[in-house]
Amino acid sequence: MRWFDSLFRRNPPSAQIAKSRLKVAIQIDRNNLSPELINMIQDDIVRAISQRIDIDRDGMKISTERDEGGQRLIADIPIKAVRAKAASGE
Amino acid sequence: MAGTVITITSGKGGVGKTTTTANLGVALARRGKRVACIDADIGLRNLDVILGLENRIVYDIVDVVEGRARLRQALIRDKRLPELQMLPAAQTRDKTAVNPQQMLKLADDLRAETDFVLIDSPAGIEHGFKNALAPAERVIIVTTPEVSAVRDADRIIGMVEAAEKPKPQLILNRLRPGMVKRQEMMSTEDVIEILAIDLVGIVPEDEMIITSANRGSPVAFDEKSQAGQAYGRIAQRILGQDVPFPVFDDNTGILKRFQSWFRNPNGGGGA
Ligand SMILES: Nc1ncnc2c1ncn2[C@@H]1O[C@H](COP(=O)(O)OP(=O)(O)OP(=O)(O)O)[C@@H](O)[C@H]1O
Ligand SMILES: [Mg+2]
Repeated sequence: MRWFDSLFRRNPPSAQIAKSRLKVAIQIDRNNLSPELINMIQDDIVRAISQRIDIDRDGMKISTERDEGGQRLIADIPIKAVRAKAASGE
Repeated sequence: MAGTVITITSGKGGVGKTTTTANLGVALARRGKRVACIDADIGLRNLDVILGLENRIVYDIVDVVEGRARLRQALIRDKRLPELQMLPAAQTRDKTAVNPQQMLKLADDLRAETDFVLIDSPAGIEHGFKNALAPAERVIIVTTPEVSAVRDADRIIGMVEAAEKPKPQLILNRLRPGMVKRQEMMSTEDVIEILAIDLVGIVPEDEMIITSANRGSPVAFDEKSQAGQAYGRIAQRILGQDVPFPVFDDNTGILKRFQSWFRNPNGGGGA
């Protein structure tokens, strides 16, 4: 009694569920930031920032996040000490 | 003028690549185009039985690339439709028996004498798929409106892009209008929204596909069945004509209609 089920449907129709599940699965599949690439990016960031300030390399966290607007890279970098590197001008 | 090489692929197995290749081959040939279909599914050849040419095979694709037979000897011409030819896959070898360079050469030789070269790709994303993709000038992705098939199609679209091929086009196969109406199957619009590629055809679920496969006579030979007509329209679109996409009827009986009326008392339409 499919029509009966759908008359009193509590769940969204399965096509709708399929579509939203697929969107998430495909988002994840398309995310081509490999662990190797993330590691390389982390090294680049460390190199760049360390010229100016002392950071806690081991405490650093790089992650990615996905939402409606697309994908973002998030860097959480603990600072050890702000040195006066900028002034010395290298 | 040299012909166009079109590869028909899907990622997921069993969604209708071989059925599509055979029927588009027939539909294009019926429109006077010279077509050569290549079965690139080495080890699991099937295009021959679907086209009803299995009892005429002498040489296969591996015999050609390894120089045991000339291309012309290996090609089988369809007696019902002389514009149509097929190059069978090898049955006793595996996909590594051919490499992409050899496929390029083969397709090049075939395009010189045809209007279309249709390549029936094996499932998957590995050697056989890469062979089938290498000579492609156009790519057609076949999917069904199911989560696994659509997900794999997306993966393949990415790989086609990475191979710097033109954006593929989509054939949505085995659509069941009744289920779509009940919102129990993703609609054409849903699938297109997710895959974001152009649609070149919709083929409904049709028992005639199975009976025609039994006979070795693709539905596109007479475009009477729903699926046969669908392949005819796809062939026209491939030839550059602007053919509208019909709304498929839910060809279910009076009982189902009563049910849907019950669900939707305003009658008709629905969502
Ligand atoms: N529109 C359709 N309606 C009904 N049955 C269909 C339809 N399309 C394909 N089929 C059936 O689905 C099955 C798989 O089709 P087919 O062999 O063409 O798929 P394939 O993608 O080539 O498979 P493989 O990945 O194994 O090569 C066959 O039994 C075929 O008859
Ligand atoms: Mg096949």
